[in-house]
Amino acid sequence: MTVIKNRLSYYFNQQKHIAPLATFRVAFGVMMLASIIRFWWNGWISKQYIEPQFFFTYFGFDWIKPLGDPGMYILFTIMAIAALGIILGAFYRWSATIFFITFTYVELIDKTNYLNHYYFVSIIAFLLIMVPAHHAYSVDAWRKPTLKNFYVPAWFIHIIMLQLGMVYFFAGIAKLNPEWIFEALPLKIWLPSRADSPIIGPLLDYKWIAFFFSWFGALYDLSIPFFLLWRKTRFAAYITVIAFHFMTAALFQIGMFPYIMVICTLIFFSEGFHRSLWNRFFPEGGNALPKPANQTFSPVLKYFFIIYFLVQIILPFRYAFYSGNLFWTEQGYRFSWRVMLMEKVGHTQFTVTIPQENKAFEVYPHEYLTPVQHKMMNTQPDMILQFAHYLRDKFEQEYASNAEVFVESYAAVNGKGSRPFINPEINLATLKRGYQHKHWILPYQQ
Amino acid sequence: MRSVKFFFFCLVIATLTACDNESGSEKVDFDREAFLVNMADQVVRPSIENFATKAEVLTSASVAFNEDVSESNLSGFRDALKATWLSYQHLAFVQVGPVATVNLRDRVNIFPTSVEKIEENITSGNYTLGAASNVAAKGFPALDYLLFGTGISEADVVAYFADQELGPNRKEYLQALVADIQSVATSMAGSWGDYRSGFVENLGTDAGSGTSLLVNEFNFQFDIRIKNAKIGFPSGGNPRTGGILSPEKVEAYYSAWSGELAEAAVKASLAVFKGENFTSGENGLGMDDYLTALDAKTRDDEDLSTVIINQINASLDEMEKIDEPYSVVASQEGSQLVTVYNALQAVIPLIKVDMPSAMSVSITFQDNDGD
Repeated sequence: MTVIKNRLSYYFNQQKHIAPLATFRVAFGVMMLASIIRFWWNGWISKQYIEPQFFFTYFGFDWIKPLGDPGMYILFTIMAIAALGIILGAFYRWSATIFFITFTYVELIDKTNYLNHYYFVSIIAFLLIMVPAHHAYSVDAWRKPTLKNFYVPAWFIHIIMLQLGMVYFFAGIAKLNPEWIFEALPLKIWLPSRADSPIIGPLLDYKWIAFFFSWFGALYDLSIPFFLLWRKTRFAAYITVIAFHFMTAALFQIGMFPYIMVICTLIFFSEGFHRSLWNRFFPEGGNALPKPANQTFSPVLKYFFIIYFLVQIILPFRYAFYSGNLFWTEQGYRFSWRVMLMEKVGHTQFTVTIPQENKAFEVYPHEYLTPVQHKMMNTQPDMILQFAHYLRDKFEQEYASNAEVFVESYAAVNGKGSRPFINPEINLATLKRGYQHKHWILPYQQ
Repeated sequence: MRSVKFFFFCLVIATLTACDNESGSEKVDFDREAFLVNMADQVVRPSIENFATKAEVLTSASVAFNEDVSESNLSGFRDALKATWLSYQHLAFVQVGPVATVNLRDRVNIFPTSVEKIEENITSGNYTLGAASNVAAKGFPALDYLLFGTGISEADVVAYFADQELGPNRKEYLQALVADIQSVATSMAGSWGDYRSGFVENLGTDAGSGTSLLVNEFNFQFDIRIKNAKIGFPSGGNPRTGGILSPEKVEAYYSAWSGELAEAAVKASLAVFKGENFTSGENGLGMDDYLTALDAKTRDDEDLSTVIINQINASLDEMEKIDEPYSVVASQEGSQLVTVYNALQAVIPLIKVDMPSAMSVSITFQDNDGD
């Protein structure tokens, strides 16, 4: 036992060169800055956070509101400056904290825009707050020489590798479902729609390609953390990382995610690799020795991270507490690394009635929502309920009378045909939001 | 090195296992370019041209009526209106490119029309038809009112325009309405050629691609403008709006062409869905063929194209049973129009959920990681 304990303690507390962490800090910061510029450039700040008249907040986070114009632009500017601070290692703890807060704030404004990779960015930014990635190769170390230290306890590097590994691994587990494995769904639907892609386009019409991609994708996600960890397979694994992510970038509309992953996985490379990288610019770090009595694993942080990673492990499985088909009800779907996992389309037809005045209105969601909000709402029950409440409040205000809201809706998962989605007889106006089971979703009819 | 080899060995095994499937050699066999070319050259372009031709006749009829306000010129004017309005029913399904630029549906066919606004414009003689306040005071429904709703007999209508005091203003408004339709027609016919090359080249299903536009516009027209506007609202067909009959909301309320126009519209939906040659009616590569190539099935494992076509035909059958103008039918509770509404409603999930899902059409350029 003591042997294991000692080995574990060594694994966590051994002093490692800071180079991998510094590379990660710079690389992550650069990707964030690039993402912010791209987002701004595409006009998405306005499109997603200023123009909509209604926002789908997260339950419990209704107090998070968009800041309007110019508020949103100011928020993104602060976020960009914080990203720059992370890159340079300038006022690093503040920069990381501010980046985490501003980025997460923006993501919490509207769940329409939820992407697994935004969630990933939020939690990496959160981890970075606690990691001393600025102790060398940084403005802070240059500003405050007492801070400078080329060595960090190994666990600061390992928690990031663990988090990255979990992202892949859970994404892989999520793919182990019969439709993905045995029917190549949803790739069998998506790939032919990309048959206009250059070079490999014509291949995408073949069904075996969908199977190949599905199996390869699942195997890749499940195994890549281990192949990256193992020195002997690392190089080949990294080539695979590049090939895999560039392929997904070419085929799907997934933005910066592939590039972020390609850059982030560099942290799996050895200390030596990163040291030689930094030595080209800052040779002094190459020969530095660990300072005696360096930081070790503080017990508070230790227990914090034990809890943190336990939560990370449990979250993707919380769907098991709900009955019904996960893809259909989406109860426990988000924050679980379910990426590119299903093709879902829905249609909703809302009717608002004012019983006291004996009036009924069919409401067109497209008059209240952006096209993306409308599309997302059509397939996600919690958003349907939120929109119903929005309509209730609007009509109750206008008519100073009770309003009832009903929806006739259909959805299809993985091209298996449309089915009735939400119970059309239920008055959504009186239902409560929350994590309780949504009994008003009709069961998935086989 | 051995480990590297083992890594690749795993991949190869996975690949082979994946290939070892009976459906392995199957593929989606569909010429997307030929589909878009057919839609562009045999469906959209002739439809635009047909509309433009009809609009020219409408313009000449309006000029003739303006010069000589007579019952015979009125009758020619009405015929020209009907022909253009019928032609519109097909074009409204393919509101892409220049047809979308002029926003055809909102520009020429917002109903019910606002008699109050029309009369106000006529009296003041001061109006801008392009203004948002005038959307319900122009296009076919406004002409419908002016040529049919201003008098019971033809003589009454002629008298309305021959009026000493307001006659000139009324004729002028009539001219302005027709000129607006004519300018829409001219603009569409003039710019289709430039648009076409980009349209047939983008073979993907991204937002803005020809396939995505065709599907989304088709769906909007079918659901919002036919099922709801032509049938649902007047008859109270939506079960939750039951009890509220609004027969005055039918299309072509004054001329009582509502049934003919609605039937033409639903027939046009079939023609566009099947990619039928506008002129010859010959079947070409359409959305139905794409769905078949994709092997799209309904939840009951039936061929999706067939089910859509059958359901639209079933709606048409119901419509053909109706002889009276829809305004008359809609004034009865639980009328035949409700049956039509329900038949059309059964098409909606098929075209708005099953079809876009099978084709994987996008509506946005925003990042997406798959729902």
